[in-house]
Amino acid sequence: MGPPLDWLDPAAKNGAPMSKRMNNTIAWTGAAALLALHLDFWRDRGTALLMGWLPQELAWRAGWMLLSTLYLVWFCRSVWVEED
Amino acid sequence: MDPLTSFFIALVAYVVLVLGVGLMATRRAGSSSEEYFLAGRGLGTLVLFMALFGTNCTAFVLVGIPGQAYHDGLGVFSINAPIIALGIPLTFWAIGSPARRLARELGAMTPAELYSRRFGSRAVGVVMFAFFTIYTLPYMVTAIRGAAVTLTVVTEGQIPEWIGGAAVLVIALVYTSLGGMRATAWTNVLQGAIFLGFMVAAFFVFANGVGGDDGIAGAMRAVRDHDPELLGVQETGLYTPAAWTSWSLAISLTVVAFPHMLVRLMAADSDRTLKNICRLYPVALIALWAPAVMVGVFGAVAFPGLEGKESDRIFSMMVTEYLPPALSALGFLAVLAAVMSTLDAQILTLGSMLSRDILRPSEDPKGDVRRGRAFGVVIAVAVFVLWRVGGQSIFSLASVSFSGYVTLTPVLFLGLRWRRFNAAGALTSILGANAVYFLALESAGGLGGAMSPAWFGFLPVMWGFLAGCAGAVLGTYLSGDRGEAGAAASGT
Repeated sequence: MGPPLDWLDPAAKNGAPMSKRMNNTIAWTGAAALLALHLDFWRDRGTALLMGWLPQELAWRAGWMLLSTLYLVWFCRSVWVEED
Repeated sequence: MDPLTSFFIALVAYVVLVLGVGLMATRRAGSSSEEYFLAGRGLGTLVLFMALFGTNCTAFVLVGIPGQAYHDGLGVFSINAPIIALGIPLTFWAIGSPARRLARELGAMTPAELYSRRFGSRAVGVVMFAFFTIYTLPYMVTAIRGAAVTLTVVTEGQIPEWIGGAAVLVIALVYTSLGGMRATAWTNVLQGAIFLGFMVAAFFVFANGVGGDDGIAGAMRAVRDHDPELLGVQETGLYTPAAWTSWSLAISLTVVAFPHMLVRLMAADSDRTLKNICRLYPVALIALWAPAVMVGVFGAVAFPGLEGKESDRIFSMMVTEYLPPALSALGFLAVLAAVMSTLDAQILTLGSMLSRDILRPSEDPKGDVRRGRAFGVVIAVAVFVLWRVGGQSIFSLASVSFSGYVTLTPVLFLGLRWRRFNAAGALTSILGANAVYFLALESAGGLGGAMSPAWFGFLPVMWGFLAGCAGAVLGTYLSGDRGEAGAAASGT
């Protein structure tokens, strides 16, 4: 099994690291997409309870936070270059 | 055992523990200024994470957020928690990581000293110190008042406010002076564990209290039956698109500009440690913010009818109503722990900046440590006096401060990432950003208007930030200085 989140890195399947440029493009695009999903005035912010207990609003934010956590994990691995 | 006795026992145990931790750190703290102010630049993942998290999360999250959620519902979570879970780690990468490396190269021990050396300009350091101090002191005063009020309420007036506030300041000052950064970081591990652990546990207990046998599901249904709007997002005030966008900018950028946060990032032992912290941060934020908001939302069902600022009492009301005496004592200790974990870092950081940015660094390796300890006392006294004589205006300033730090972020970022950026650009940025920020505040209703719309519906912080970016670019290009002297000095 490869390192986590290899599915974000097409070139990793061939054992070659994805280029820095492509990583940067994905990083900017990902951040912009997350920001757009956070500024979600277009969405119906309903008050329903999903499965009888989970507020729809909380579910949406929790999903967003899961996405942003995955993004950060990928970001730390692929974009953030350690210089120590 | 009655609640008051439980609280006193827990309080004494807590004080003994934090002082003990301070004593343990003493042996190494006095050996050099780098050891005292930055823990030898050697903080690893666990201690640094708890130090950052403890410093970042003030008593406001435990007390003020439930109070706000009581009226506004889940929207309080929506507007705050997600964006900081992404924004704060990204600022650690954008500013914290290069700041740590450059500070090590230049031998800088405070944020103002770092940028002063980067630009080869003492003026930049002094101006940054001034704004860091102006924005931090009201924050400290508010924290002390929160701790003092908590102690008075819990002890049913047996500890008067002024004694409670003074005691909290003295205890924080003692262990900070004893062990410097290492003591504050180690105590933050304990303090963070207390308030984070308490909030997670309290969430389940409160849910059972409000929801009965059905627990969380029952509590959520009770909220829906009481007021379904609490499960959604309002459409007025901070929740309008322009204000929401401005607030997202403010709350995600401001934390890295707290001098007491930035200096902790400078104390990391490696980039790897910072990366680990960025991975942990979102999880910890969810664990703290979700219960804090739900305390307020459940509280609206349990104690309906509170008006305005009365809802700030909802945390203590829920604690007293639903927890047994021993656990409720822990709840109030959690508030104290959250106050002190921020306060100690602020005392240490302002003391170090007075010692090294206003006075020149001492030749004697231990000279700075002695001065830092002395200045810590000066700051503690200043905070106490401001609290007792400053009046209500000081508390209005706290919300001005929170957004005000954002006016410094263009310089914090560009100073580390833009080679040509120079001292003229930095000074234009800081002074211009703050001038525009205060003009926008005036337009939004004065010192109480930090969270009210200014021009075109955006909050004052947005205008201050934009002015800071424009000032940085204009000042740099118009000065004609290509920034090479500062960049060469700093290696950027």
